Parts: sequence; C-alpha cells; structure tokens
Amino acid sequence: MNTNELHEELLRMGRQPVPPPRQEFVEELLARINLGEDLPVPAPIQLVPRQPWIRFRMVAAGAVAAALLAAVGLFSLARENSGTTTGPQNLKPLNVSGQQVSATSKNLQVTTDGKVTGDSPPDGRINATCQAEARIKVGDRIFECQVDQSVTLTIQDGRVVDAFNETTKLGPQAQPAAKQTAAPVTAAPTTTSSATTTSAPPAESGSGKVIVVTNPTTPTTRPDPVLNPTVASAPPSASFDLKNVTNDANVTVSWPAYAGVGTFQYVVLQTISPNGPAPDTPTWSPTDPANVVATIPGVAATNYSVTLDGKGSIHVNTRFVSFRVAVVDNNNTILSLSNTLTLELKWAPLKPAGDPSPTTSSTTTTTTTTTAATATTAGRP
Amino acid sequence: MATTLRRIAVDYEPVRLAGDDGGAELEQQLVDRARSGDQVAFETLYRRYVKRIHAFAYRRSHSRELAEDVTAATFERAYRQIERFEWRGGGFGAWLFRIAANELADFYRRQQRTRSDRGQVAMGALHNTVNFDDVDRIEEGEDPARRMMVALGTLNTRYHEAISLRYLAGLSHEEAAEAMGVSKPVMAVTLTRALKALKKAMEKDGNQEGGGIR
Repeated sequence: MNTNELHEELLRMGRQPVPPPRQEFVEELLARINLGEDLPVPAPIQLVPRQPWIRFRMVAAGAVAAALLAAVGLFSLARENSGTTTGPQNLKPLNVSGQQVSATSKNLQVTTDGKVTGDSPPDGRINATCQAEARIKVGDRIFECQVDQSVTLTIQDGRVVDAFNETTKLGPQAQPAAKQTAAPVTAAPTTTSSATTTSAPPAESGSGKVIVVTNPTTPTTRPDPVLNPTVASAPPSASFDLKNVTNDANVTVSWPAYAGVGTFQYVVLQTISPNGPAPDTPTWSPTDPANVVATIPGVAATNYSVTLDGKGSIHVNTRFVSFRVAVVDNNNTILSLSNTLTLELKWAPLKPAGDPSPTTSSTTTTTTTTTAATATTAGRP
Repeated sequence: MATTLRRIAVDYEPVRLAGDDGGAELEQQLVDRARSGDQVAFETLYRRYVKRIHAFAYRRSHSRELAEDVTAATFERAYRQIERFEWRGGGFGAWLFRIAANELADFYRRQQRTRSDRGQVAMGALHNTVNFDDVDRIEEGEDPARRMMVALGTLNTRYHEAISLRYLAGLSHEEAAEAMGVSKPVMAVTLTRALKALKKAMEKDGNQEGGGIR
C-alpha cells in the first residue's frame, strides 16, 4: 500500500458510518456535567510507592510555605489593625439617601463614628444608596462604601450598629436585601421596626429567608403616591405566605385569598436556577413580565399547579425553582405580595410503567428516556 | 465490496464545523454565553457536537465503551476549561476534536506504559485493550482498516493526533491545522511524515504477522 492508497483508505475510514451514542449516555453525561460531578477517568491511575527523599522534600516545602503564610498573615493583620486605629484622618462621613418602612425617602448623614444625623430615622434597617465615598466606624470595624453603591444600614439609638453592601455580604441576607432594592416588586424595605413586627415576619438573621415587610395598613389602601419614582411603590398590605404541596412531579402552590375589595388578579411569578445556588427572587413590573407564569383572576382560584416533566419552562435538571405571587389591581398596582417559595428539585429517570399491553408500550418507551422531578422545600421558605 | 461502498456513500455525513453552515456567529455567541456560566448555551453546544465526538472516538477505537469514556472526558474538560478557549478559525468544534484526540492519545500512551514488554506494544495497543464489540461490522474487506488502527496506536502523539483529526474526525486540512494549533504548511509536513510512519508501522506489523508472532 503506497502513501496515496493509505490516504484514500484513511479517508474511507473517516467516512465509515458508526453507531450513534446511546441516548441514555448522552443524557446522563449532560446531567453529570450540569451537576458538576466528577466524571470517571478513562483509565485507572497508576499508583507507585513514594520515594523517601520525596517525603523530605515535601516536608521542607511545607515548612517554607507555612512560614510564608505566617508572614503574610502577620503583615495583613498589622495592616488591618493600623487601618482601624489610624484615627479620623482615614475616615470619611457617610451620606446616604434611602427608604425605610414609612416608604418615604430620607437623607441621612452618618458621622465617622457611626452617629446618624439628618432626617432622624427611627430604629431599624434601611436600604440606601451612598452619595459619596465614605469610610465610617461601625462597631469595632471599618465600613466602606463607594458612590451610588447600595448599602443596608441597621440603625439603633441614632447610631449605625451594622452595615453591609454588595461587596461585604456579611450575612446570608445581604444579597436578597440588595436585590430587593433594585427589583420593582420587592421594593418594600426590610425592617424590624416596631411598627411592623406585629404583622410581618421578623428578620431572621442567617436564615437566608427573603423577607418582605409592608405597612400594617388595611389591604385596600393604595401605595403612597409621593414615593420616589426611582423606587417602585411598596405593597400596602401585609405580605402573605405561599404553601406548596408536592406529589412527585406535581407541585401545587397555594395562598390565602386576598381580603381586599375591587377587581384584582393573582400574578404567579417564577424564576429558575439550573444549577444552584437558589434563583433570584422573582420580580415583576408592568413593563417586565418575564417572570410571569400565570395570571389568575382574583375570584377564580388561589393556587397554581405545575407538572415538572421537563417540558415546560422548568427544564430537566433545573436545581432550584422559586415562586412568588403578587396581587395586582387593574391599574397594575401591587396590592399585596407573597414571600418567596423556593423548591429544590431532584431529577431521576422515570421507571418503566411495566404495563405489557401494546397500547402503552410506546408510552413506556418514551417515559424511560424522559425524566421527572421530585421537589423538596429548599433552605429558603 | 461494491455493496459496501454504496452503503458508505449513502450513510456518509461529512463533519460540519461552525463555519460550514454560516453558524459561526451563532456558535461564538453560544460559547460566550457558556463562558459566562450559561448552562443552556453549553447544553446547546454539547448537543451539537456530542455525536460527532463520539463517532470520532468510535472510529478510532471501535469500542463503544472507550468512545463513551473519551466523549465524557472531552466534554467534561471542555466544560471546565471553556474560559481558556480562544476563538480561532476552526471554532469550538475544532477545539473539542483536539481535546478528544489528546484524550485518545493519552489513553494509548497509558496503555503503552502499563506494558512491560515493549515488543508487545504495537500489537497490544489495540488488540488487547480495545474491543471490537461491533464485530458484525468487521468484514474481510475491512482487515486493512484493522491493521491500520493497530499501527496508528504505535505512532507518537503528534502523528497520532494529526492523522486522527484529519481523517477520523473528518476535518479538512485547514480545520485540522487549526485544531492542532499549527499553520497549514506545518500541518502538511506533519501529516506527510505521519503517513510515512504509519505505512512503516503497518509494514512492520505485516511482517510480524507473516513471521508467526501473533
């Protein structure tokens, strides 16, 4: 066989039909990649006994690395301590504008030692925007923020006792709180003020719970029309809880009937997260209905059901799905808003139906290659 | 033989990379989205190429098991290293084929290492490690192909990669060069040398058969 013949033979081999990959393999591999699982190594790893001198070298390298780490750590500690105790010349007062439970904008000034001046807000948590670069002392640490950065301040006795922004993320609640500020439907600020604790779920530090607190006014009250237009109106009625019933791949989300008068509808919102962590809080505005999965007239029903068969908006192997319901009137004003219900989904191949009758055999074949989900309530309510 | 050729002509579906069908722009968008963590985009790319990668690995190994292992390793590595991927002429497909070719070459290299008797490498690289589990397809007329695969397993990684990409993956000369990260002239030289080395390896294998080693 000369080189030309070899070339032709190789070309012919490259064109030879081959059996396609098994469909189960294709789906399983994709699922494993999406879940981030380690895949099997094609060939076994050869283990050989380690030579004694390698051990000595590793010990020596470890000692050097430990010494370097210690040096770096001491340097960082010294630098941090110097930052805390340098004195006022490194600190800058904080000017923020924000919104608290009363849903009116406030302008606050916080001195470098954490004392709040300005509109004299009551105690509680406030979502705000930094108006200038600041560096203030909060408790025993230094808190920094940049211009236009979203911050959450906890005020007690006229002082900032806790503060965090998107970069500090001191607690699990930092992210949801920050997102609530930006999202129209979650504009109601989080707070633990005495005015709302009787009607709203309390702030649960460290639980990761998305908290929506609204004024304890009557459900029929409309939002304050003098709100800052850059911030969506706060829902005037108390928020309500979603409940879910799961039966394998069938999920039913239900909520209490809205007690208000007039014409209204329930807008069911949904966000998904294919691979975790938990999805963003579902948001809604009249101009951004992307998260809407159902609109139910107020007199029709107070539940929403979905079958997790991978065929709808919830794809196979979606890890988390979040639901939320907003009560909206004809003017697209949010009357009430539920909390966020997040479900963690576990997907598994469906078992064959086992019915030997010819009429169902094709169905059995189909379901063997499809997947379905079971849902469990995730760490968030 | 004529029947076989006719069947091949009917079943032949040339490998089409991103640039073939004008989908390069779309594919580049998918890659960008996948790089930013968009699972759906990666899934789209995966479904676009999984059969081709599997076919490539199967042509090389004639083993369904090994083809699946190589396919899995290829996409797993691509998923983890997609941030390092730089868009070139061959696109995402050429990059995937190169990963797959390297995985195959690594496999055969590992097999060679595990054999103490170097004289058995040429024979054993394929015969003892790869199962022709689709035995019905191995007909008398395909024996040269079998010998070729045995010989291919004895080549060095670079030659192995060049021949695999150019012929078994069905890439054009230009695409194979892109996949290997070399210029077209360098690819031409590498391929010529690889073919000569393969020819020599096949002749050696033939002589050994005649001598009754097997």
